[in-house]
Amino acid sequence: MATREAGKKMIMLKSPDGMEFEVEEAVAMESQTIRKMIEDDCADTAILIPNINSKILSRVIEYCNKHVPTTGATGAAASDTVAPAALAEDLKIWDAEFIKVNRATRFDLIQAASYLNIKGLLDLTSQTTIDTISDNSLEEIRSFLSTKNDYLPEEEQTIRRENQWAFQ
Amino acid sequence: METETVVRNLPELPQDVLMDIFSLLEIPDLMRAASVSSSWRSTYTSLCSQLKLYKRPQTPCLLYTSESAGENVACLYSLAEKRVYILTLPDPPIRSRYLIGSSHGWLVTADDKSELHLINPVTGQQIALPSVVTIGYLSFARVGDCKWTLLTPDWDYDQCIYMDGLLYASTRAGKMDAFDLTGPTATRNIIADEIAIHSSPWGDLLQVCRKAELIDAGYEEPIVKTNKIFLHKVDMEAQELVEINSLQHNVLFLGRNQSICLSAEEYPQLKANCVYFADAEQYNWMYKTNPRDIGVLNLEDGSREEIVSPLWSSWPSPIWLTPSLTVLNLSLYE
Repeated sequence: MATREAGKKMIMLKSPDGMEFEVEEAVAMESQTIRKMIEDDCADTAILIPNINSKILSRVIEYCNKHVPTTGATGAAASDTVAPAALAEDLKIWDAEFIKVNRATRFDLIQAASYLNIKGLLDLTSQTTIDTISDNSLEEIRSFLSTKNDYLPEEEQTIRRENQWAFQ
Repeated sequence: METETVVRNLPELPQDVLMDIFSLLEIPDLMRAASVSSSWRSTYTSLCSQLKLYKRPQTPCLLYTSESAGENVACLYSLAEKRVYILTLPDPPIRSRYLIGSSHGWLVTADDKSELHLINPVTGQQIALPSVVTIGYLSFARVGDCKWTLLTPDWDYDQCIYMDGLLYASTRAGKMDAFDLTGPTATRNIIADEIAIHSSPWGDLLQVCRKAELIDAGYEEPIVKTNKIFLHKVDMEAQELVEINSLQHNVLFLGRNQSICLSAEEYPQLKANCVYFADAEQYNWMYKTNPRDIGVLNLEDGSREEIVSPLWSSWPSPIWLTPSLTVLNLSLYE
């Protein structure tokens, strides 16, 4: 339910497992998907966020709460009082703590960031995956990212031979 | 066994999410990722067919060969990763060809019969250009053409840049023409009569002069050593050159590549206000035994630095190349 509290417009987000989260509109609009719903007037009552359970949704909201003032979203608190560099440094430390989660949670967060279209969160959650791809062998990538190798051995050989140079 | 169970219970990343992640990978990592599974491969294939979604900035690499690596092997030195990739290329052997130029990830080479090829070393795709028998002094060919189209018999052009349907060609003596290639017949406009325009960086056109000392060191010809770069901004309205002494946060790549100007803010591994140079279109690159003129010149203090210890063979002369996954679909033109 959209309500007003201390002059700030509030938005209700609902997870499929029945939990409700009341958040400032500016925080919710960190998500481009939700921003579009609000701007298109599809959001006068509570917004149901499909496929994202309450545990993940609460973490996403936590992220948006932390990031809202610096990204200059409408109605966000002014950040003029703190030096931008110090603020960025603080956010970086906070992000590093935030992403210390197990793999299953990280995958859920990536998918939530992708669905809700929150670029900062997608970059943050994807970075570990990017590092995994950069730093590991194919076997390790498959095991770390739970991707099944569905190639026949000879198919894999052919494909590897095509891009041999990238395996050095 | 326990990890196995955990792995099975984890969901796979959906394709649209994978696409977001793949678009941030370096080219070698992206190509390795394509070998992980068939669903990853199809994500890679669809990213390659929509390359505008692939956002990772590509830092220029130095392409060179070495005798020990083999006749068909090119070495790609990555300035970003400070490491070398070894690429095996199709015939004719790359070490027997002249590396004439590079643009958008493609090399232009000439073999011992002067026949021209385009080759993308990263994908291995090679395209034979129309035979040089049909070429005039300034000619062009579109993908799929079987012969060259003559633009002008004038022979004194030495630099070309193709932008938005216009081919700008400049001469060493200071003339610049633009040819409109969008219509059925090409038309020529004279842009300037007295200024030589060398490269096109951050919006302004720049004239770049390399000053080199010639040292007689007992080779085929005196060796060339670049020791100063002069920069002039071209004022098109006033038809005059304004000397500038700094690139500020930008970086310039000179050589036989299409000139490249990048911002060091976007490419943190590159040094701002520096010129990365390799043998240019002047004669040095054509002499097979001469040492190469390759390095980094810092415009701040005028210092010259080597890029990597000179591992490269003298021949063919190394060239800057910005890796690209571009594939030309020739079947569209047949």
